[in-house]
Amino acid sequence: MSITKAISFTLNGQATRIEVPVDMDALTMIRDVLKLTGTKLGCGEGECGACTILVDGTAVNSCLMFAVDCDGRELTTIEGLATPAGRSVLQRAFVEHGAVQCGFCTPGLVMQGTYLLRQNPGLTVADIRRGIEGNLCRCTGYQKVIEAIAAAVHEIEKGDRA
Amino acid sequence: MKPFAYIRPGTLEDAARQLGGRGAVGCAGGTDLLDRMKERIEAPRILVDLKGALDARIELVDGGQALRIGAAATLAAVAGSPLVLKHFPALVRAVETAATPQIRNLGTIGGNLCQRPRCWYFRARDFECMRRGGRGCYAQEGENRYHAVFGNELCAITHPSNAAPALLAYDATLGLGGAGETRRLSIHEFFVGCDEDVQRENILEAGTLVTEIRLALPAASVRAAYAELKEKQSNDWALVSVAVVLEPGDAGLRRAAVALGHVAPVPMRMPEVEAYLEHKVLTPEVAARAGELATAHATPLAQNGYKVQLIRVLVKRALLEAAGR
Repeated sequence: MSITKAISFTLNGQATRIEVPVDMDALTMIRDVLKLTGTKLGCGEGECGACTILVDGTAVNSCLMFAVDCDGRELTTIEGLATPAGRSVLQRAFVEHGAVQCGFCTPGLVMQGTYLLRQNPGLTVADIRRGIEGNLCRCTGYQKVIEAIAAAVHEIEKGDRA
Repeated sequence: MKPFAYIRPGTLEDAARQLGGRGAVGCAGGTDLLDRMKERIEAPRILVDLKGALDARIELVDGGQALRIGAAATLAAVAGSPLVLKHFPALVRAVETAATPQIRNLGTIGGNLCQRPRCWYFRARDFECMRRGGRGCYAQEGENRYHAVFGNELCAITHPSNAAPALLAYDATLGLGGAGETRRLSIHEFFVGCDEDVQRENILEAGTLVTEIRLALPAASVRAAYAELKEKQSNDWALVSVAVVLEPGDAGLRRAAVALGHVAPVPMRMPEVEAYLEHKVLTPEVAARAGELATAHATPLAQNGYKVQLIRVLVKRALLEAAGR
């Protein structure tokens, strides 16, 4: 019984070993300990989706997950989406469609959008609308975000990878 | 947050033993528990991570006569399961609209049944809420538009589970693990009203946990529906939810199960409504009358009288939807 625990996991493709306090959430570990500040803290209680990351390929609120729960798993944050070849198809679509205003919700929306595209590359606009209901945005009115994800669906149909 | 010990037992027996420890709290998805800890209304001494002890399988059992859902199955897994959709469509409808996609990817079906209420007085540390061992119910005279319209004399929480009304209507059985063998309990005996104990929502004692949900497969002729009303159409708690399961007979309904969620401290079956529906042909008039009967004993508070009308409408709609009318 201890109040910190040593855990290891893969973070954006890199093996990571770290000792974390058991009362820390995964978001605090990512931002404050591992210094990856792309993932945002909005509400801290699962309402806003700004902290969305992929855990074993599944989109979750990192603010509602204990850091110790990351043990043995594969984490992807917004910093892990780009490849040496450049930004991901959805990142490019967000830029091209002006789906970013203040930008605070953007990492969460891009992670959720990436998850949706990987789950179902043939996403309809209705699927997109339902799929991003856990991500709050106070600037864009969502329309450009939906257009960007729909454009990524189109690019993937032409052969790009999500 | 106060520091606590973190334990991840690998077996059910060990998990049950650890949950018997003083100040021990179980955690599966953790979405509700972590939130309560951040609100500082819950401070476990020992956090028992149940994911190593529980399973998340969704499978046919008993020679194909029943469906078994491991308590650690996420809401997303239940909502996306073709097996659940084929046999228990009202359960899929109930969980697929709960919370958000991200929370459904973390939150489990077992946790959904065991989550604590969302009453804002219960969730706010500054109020000495009776359910947290304090003096009274602040909702009685306070802001109570989202509160209970039944069984609300002592405490006016609504039970927050979406899955519960559907599981009640399908007469689910729960597996409870504890010291010794796993035992089975009808879901009808699981929830605890305020008259029995105002500080808990279910019968789980220290050292016990929900391990699985079992549902007997209904006959092919059985029809079911789940309906809910929310203020926002996404990412919101239901104001009222209704699950109905109808068994057609030669002349009218052989049997009807009607369950309400989000209107009382416990999810409720409605025996008077069910008795009325027996042997009836489900016309719009009969469905409307069933809605009236469902609210006969309602005792709304100052701000939530509108929920009584929502129940009337939603019971009618769910019955007609299940009947295909």
